[in-house]
Amino acid sequence: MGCLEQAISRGKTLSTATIQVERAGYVVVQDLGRSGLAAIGISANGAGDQNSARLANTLVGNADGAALIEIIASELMLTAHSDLLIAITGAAKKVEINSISHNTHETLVVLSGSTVFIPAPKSGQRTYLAINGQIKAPAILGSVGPDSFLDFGQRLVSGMKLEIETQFNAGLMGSDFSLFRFNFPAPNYSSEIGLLATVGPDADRLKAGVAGLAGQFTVLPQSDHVGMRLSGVDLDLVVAGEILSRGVPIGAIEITPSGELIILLRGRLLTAGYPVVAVLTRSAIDQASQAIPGTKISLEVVSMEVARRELAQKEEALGKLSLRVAQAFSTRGWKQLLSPDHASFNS
Amino acid sequence: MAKLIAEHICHEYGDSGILVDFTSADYEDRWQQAQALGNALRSSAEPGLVDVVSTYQNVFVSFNQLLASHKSIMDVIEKLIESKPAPRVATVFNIPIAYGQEYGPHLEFVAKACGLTPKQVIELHSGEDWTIRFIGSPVGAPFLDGPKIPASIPRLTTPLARMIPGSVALSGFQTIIYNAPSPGGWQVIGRTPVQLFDLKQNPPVPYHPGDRIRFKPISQREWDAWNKPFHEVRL
Repeated sequence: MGCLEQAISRGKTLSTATIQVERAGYVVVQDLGRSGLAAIGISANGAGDQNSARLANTLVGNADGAALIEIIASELMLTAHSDLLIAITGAAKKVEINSISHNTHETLVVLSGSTVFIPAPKSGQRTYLAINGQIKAPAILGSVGPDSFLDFGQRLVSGMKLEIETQFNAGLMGSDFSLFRFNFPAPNYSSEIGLLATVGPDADRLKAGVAGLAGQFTVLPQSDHVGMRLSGVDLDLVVAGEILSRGVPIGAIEITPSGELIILLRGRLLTAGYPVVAVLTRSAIDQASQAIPGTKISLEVVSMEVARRELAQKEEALGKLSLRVAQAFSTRGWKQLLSPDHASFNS
Repeated sequence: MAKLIAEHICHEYGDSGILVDFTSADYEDRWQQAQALGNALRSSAEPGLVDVVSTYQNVFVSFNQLLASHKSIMDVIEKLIESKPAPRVATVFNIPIAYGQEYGPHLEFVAKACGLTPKQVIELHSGEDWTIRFIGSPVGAPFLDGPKIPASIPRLTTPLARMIPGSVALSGFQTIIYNAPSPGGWQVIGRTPVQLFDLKQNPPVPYHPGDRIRFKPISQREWDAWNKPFHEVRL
């Protein structure tokens, strides 16, 4: 049962909130993408920085995979025509509500008539705006997210109105207008990043093995959600036979015949025939999706154990936060704002 | 027929993936083993299994690390690896195709690479059935093995940014059909007017690995008559 049916069955006051887009750069309706569809040749896509998207939804009481807004290397200004409960995560450092600056990575109340401005980030490139409830948007194969191969996606443009089914309204707040303070650490993006990876099946195609990946690479401008192209280091390759096309993971670090490195991202084709020398960890894939052209990248190959621990820590942090959000909502008598699929119910 | 004990190697493939490499001497065996394991995994309902990509001789399994591990998935693979391929009667799909000219801008190049005339390439390409080895991206593209192409066809030096949907293209000894306007690096020799990927159908592509495709050359004048979704086509 979706949030909508659940709310109706409980007889709660679900209403349609509206936002009007005033100014939008490259902004899309997004979610975690389409997974499990390899049998019909469909790529995963979805939010580039999955952890930030899940975090934003968690902060507003939504399910991890609820539709939200992804703002890519640009800004968004909108007017709320209804009361909203929102959270902003990812690259943006601040959000202005009626010209008053607020922290990102917190749960924020927006009153009807307010203007919300999310400035373009100075570092990092993907910002997520989650809104309590369900953004009304058409889906294909289980996802609202864009897929350029399917010619599908919803881009936000100025003048456009977006509707959200939500149970939130300022009346729920009573006289308590105090802000939430979850103080979840906001990530720092920088022009030099280190990405963790584990050894891939074709590491022996590098003369020096994965040690050959030492040094600094630069993200090239031809990078997109399909793959990130890197330049910088001359790789010494072993001459070896062709590799027959096979499935490739998101995060695969491939070497092209010309010795260039490509890191596959969420829009990648499902199969490829280039050697895979290493694979980014799940967290590193999120980090990579935030890297703008010109970013200096160093790769560190770690053991599977280190990769697992890194992921477990991220998951634990998200789980703990979800419990605090659920607790805070309950204390205010806002239990109905929590989706039955909110992360707190699995933590 | 796949051997009962399939020779294979399992690689860790990132923190949430495994790559199975089938290594027996026979190409046909390796493909059957990969497809059989892929099918068995897809119908296993194993907790934590996210997706399965089975190709010519590999199976890539991705999993959710919170619900599964390399070890638990490898154990499942070892259990399923001896599954026999489910017997399936192959369907043959007749696909109309306009070769050359604006439909197949790289036909001349392919002919030259093969030491043939364009007409001979068309006769070769449409003269026998092609076998669907697997379905991949972009968007339900069938990856086909078929008639013996005299030379391995190199990829385009600069991939096209936007393939016209329906483009039929060669690389190596293989053919694929681009169902969607994706970038692509294969040499386009023709185009089909039939829309093979159709979201109104379930599944959205009519074919499965193991099915066969026979290309039926059509003239430019016949194009409009065939320009429709596959389920409306009767050949």
